[in-house]
Parts: sequence; C-alpha cells; structure tokens
Amino acid sequence: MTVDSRNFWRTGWPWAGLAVVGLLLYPQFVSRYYIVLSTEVVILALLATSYNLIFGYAGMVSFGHAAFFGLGAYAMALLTKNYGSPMLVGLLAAPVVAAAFAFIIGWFCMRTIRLYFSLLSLAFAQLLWVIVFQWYGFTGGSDGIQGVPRPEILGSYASYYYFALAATLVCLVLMWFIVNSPFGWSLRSIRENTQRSQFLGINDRFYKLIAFTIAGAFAGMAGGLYCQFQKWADPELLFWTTSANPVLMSILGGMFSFVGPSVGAVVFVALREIIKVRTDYWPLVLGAVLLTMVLVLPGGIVGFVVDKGRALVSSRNGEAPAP
Amino acid sequence: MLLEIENLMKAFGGFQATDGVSLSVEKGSLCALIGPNGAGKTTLFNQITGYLVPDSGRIIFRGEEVTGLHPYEISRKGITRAFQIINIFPRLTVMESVQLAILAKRGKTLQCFAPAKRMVREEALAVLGIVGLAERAGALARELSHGDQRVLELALALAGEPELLLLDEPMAGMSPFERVKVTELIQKVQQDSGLTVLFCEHDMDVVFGISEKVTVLHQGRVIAEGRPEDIKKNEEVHQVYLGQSWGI
Repeated sequence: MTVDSRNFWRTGWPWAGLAVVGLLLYPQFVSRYYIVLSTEVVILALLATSYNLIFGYAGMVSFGHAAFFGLGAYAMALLTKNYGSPMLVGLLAAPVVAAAFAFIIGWFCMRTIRLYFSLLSLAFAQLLWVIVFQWYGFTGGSDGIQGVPRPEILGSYASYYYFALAATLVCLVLMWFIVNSPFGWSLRSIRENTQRSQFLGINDRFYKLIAFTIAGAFAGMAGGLYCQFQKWADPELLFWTTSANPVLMSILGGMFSFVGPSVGAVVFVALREIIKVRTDYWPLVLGAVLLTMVLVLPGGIVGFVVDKGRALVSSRNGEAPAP
Repeated sequence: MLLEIENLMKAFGGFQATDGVSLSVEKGSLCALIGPNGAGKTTLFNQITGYLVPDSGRIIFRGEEVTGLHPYEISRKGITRAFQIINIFPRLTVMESVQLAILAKRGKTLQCFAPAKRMVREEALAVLGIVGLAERAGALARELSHGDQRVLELALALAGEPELLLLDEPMAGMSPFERVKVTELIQKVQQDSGLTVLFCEHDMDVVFGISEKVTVLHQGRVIAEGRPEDIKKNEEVHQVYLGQSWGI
C-alpha cells in the first residue's frame, strides 16, 4: 500500500462509510427478529455514546444516566399519547426536557467530585424514578404508559429501523463534532488534569455542567426513540439497572474511543441474546465476561484493536512499539 | 509595578504558612524567590494564582485587586504558572496540549463545532519551536522524558501568552544538561518577549546567575530582599538558608 492510501484508511472515515452502508443494506438479508434487535442496538448505541461524552471524555462517572433516557421516553409518550402531538414534536421535546433536567441535576452534582458525584447522580435518578413510579395520575405509575402511537409510515419493523438509524447517525455526527472541537478538547483536559486545566483558564465546573446537559439531551433523544420502538414507557427506563447499561457498554467497547460505546452496545446485546436462551442467569455470565474484559482489555475492544494496529504499523516501519 | 502583594496571611490550622508577606515585582523583571523547604514559597504561589484564598492581605495585579479570584479567572488576567510537580495532560499529545492552552487564552474553548485540530496550529508550532519540542509534537505527553515533560509544562505556561509567569522550581529533578538548557530558555523567553518572571528554585547557581532581584522567605516571612550580590552577603540569609558553603 502506498503511504497515501494507508493514511486514507487511517482517518477512519472510510470505515465509517462502510459501516453505514452495511447498516443500510443489512435488513434486506435478515429476519424480523434481527431487525428488531438491531433497532434496539442502534438506540442503545446512541445512549451509550451520549453517556461516554461525560464518562470517557470528561471523566465523570455518573450512575444516573437512565434518568435522562427515561425522561425522554416519558416526554415522547405523554405528548403523543395523552396530548395527541405528532411524533416529531415528541422527538424534539424529548431532548429538550431531558436537557432541562440534566442542567438542574448537574448544577447540584457539580458541587461534588468523584464518588460523591457518582452517588449524587444516582440519588437524583432514583428520586425521579420514585416520582414516575408513584405518580399514577400523570405518568401512569408502575404501569407506565402503554400504546404510544406511531405514525403509519414508520409502522413496519424495517422502516422504524431506518428511522432510528438515521436519527442516531445525525446525533453521532453532532457528537463527533463536539468531541473534536475546542470544547471537547477542554473536557479531555479536565479529565486528564483538572487543576492544570483551571490554570489554563478553563472553568471546569461550568464546562462539565454543559457537557452533562448535552449528554442528557442526547440520552433524552435515545429515550424518545426507544419509547417509539417499544411503543410504551415504563419506570424501569429510569431505574438504576438501566443506568448501568451505558457504563458497561462504554467499558466493553472502549471509553477512550468515539465508536467504543457503539461497539459495546453491539457486543452487549449480542451477549445478552446468546446467553439468555441458555440460562436465566444471564447477568451472572455477563458479569463474568465484563470482569475478564476489564482485567484483560482495560482499553475495551476498540482500545485493544487500536493498540494492536499501532504496534503492527510501527513494527512494519521498523520502530519499537509504543509502551 | 506589575504585581504587588500586601501583608498576605495564610494559616493551615495552627501553622502560619504565609505570615504577612509583602512583595512587589516590576514589569519585565526576572525575580527569584528562595528559602528553605517549608518557607511558604509554594503556598505563596498558590495564593497568587488563586488556588488558595488568603486569610487576609491583598494581591494587586496591574493595579487591579485579584485576591481570592478563581484560578481560571486569574489565568485569564495574564498570570500563568508552571508547576513544581509535573502537571500535564498525559493522554493529550504535545501539540494538542499547547493548542488547547492557546485556545483557552483566547476564550475559544466554548466553541462546540469547530475542528480544534486545525485551529491555532501555527501559533502552537511557534511555541514548540521556542522551547525546542517541535519534533515531539505528535507524541503523547506521557511518552516524553522527564526533562521534556518539564519543558512541555513551561510551553503550556508560555502558550497562555502571560504577562507574569510563575515558575515553581523549574529545575527540580533535571539533569545538569537539562538545567543549562532550561535556564537559557527562561532567560531567552524573558528577554525576547519582555515577559515578567517570578520563580522559586533551590539551585543557587541558577538563582544568582539569572535573577535581577531575590526575595528570601523564612517561616512565612520575608527576611531579605534585594539585588543578588547583596543577598549573597546578607548575614541572616546565610544563617537560615545559604549556610557556610556560600561564603562571602
């Protein structure tokens, strides 16, 4: 390969293009079961990537990300089912509602760091879960909101898959721009060394609050899509077990890479489906897999591949591999 | 005067770390702060840069009181610092780190959709050229040698285009060769750009070799202040710090 063509493949864009083509063609060749599963993967990839904005890029371990996912889902369900709004209105409202809550919750949480931040984010999410779980008059309580209407044009499994895919891709492109902007770099610098970034003139708390709000907005978007996907919203969407999923996906796929959480979402759902038909204790098996991953591949799947790739390239060029 | 400190006090529990320090730094000068370990040098730096809030006293920069402001606010006013311990961004490349420092200084870090990679490249390369790190621009900060990490630390401080640069023991842990390199670098930057530098350092060859004014701290107080040749002859300074080896 010439140097030019090698650089071309290394930019990542051709791979992204190939992946998109694959995702577009894929439903033509598989059964309905796989289309439904892929729709879920696509939405969870959006959720996990939104989470990784604060987790991988800004270094904030939130245990309450499901709150914004659930709020987005409820915004969609309430607007379309109870108030008869069109789905697109719901899809605009979901990120806005989630972002508003993220801003308020974030404002309180930014007062704390590390473990205290994690616990406070968890506490706020559980608080919202209790409210949604108990407020029968508004949220339907533990029953949730069933029968969320979906426009006829998106009625088929394949058409909704394409819709969710398009919405997710738009969001991913937006997030890609954000993480590669001066703002995204500032978040990385805060993660790497908060004190030093302050001395460069970066107001770390404010930047983290903005990042938390943006992440909340995209999680809300994922929630709105998910609500339409399963056609109902239930309190479980805000529950702490749901918060754990994007954490696990980010770690599985690789938190220091933009595509890591999406890869994590694919692997997470695949593992779940493979193990589920064999045993009821699938979380136990998943836990064992995760434990192994964290110990053996601390950079996640993508981190591992990138490291191997780099070592290969430098050995070809006659350099010693980076430590 | 660029920087004036008036009667600064800071205590940690019963320990008076800064005990009525008054100090002034003239614009364009190269001033040294010396004193035994625990004399309160780093505590003083931490207060000037906003990392610690003084109990009482005032810090005036360019005629404006900056006492008790946040580090990011003080940094934007034109005071930057390099650290005693290595304080860099391990998983950012050298180039990215310097670009970020320049972007932060120019108030561009809230831009969300512009590609950071293509911004302020030339300025960043210029800073790396001055400090001699241009060849390592693509390396991750954590991959640099100890000496180069200290130089990157200095580059980060310079990239912020400061008016006053505080250097906290810039030579700590450096080889003799690196010391000469960094000493020359500090002098060159100060002379070329008219930058004001206040540094603390234990290497007396460096202190008396390059500084125009030396202030001696002991137990949180200023015990002597003046031109290097006068400080060398000061009886009290010899007793508490320089010892006999620096005989008159």
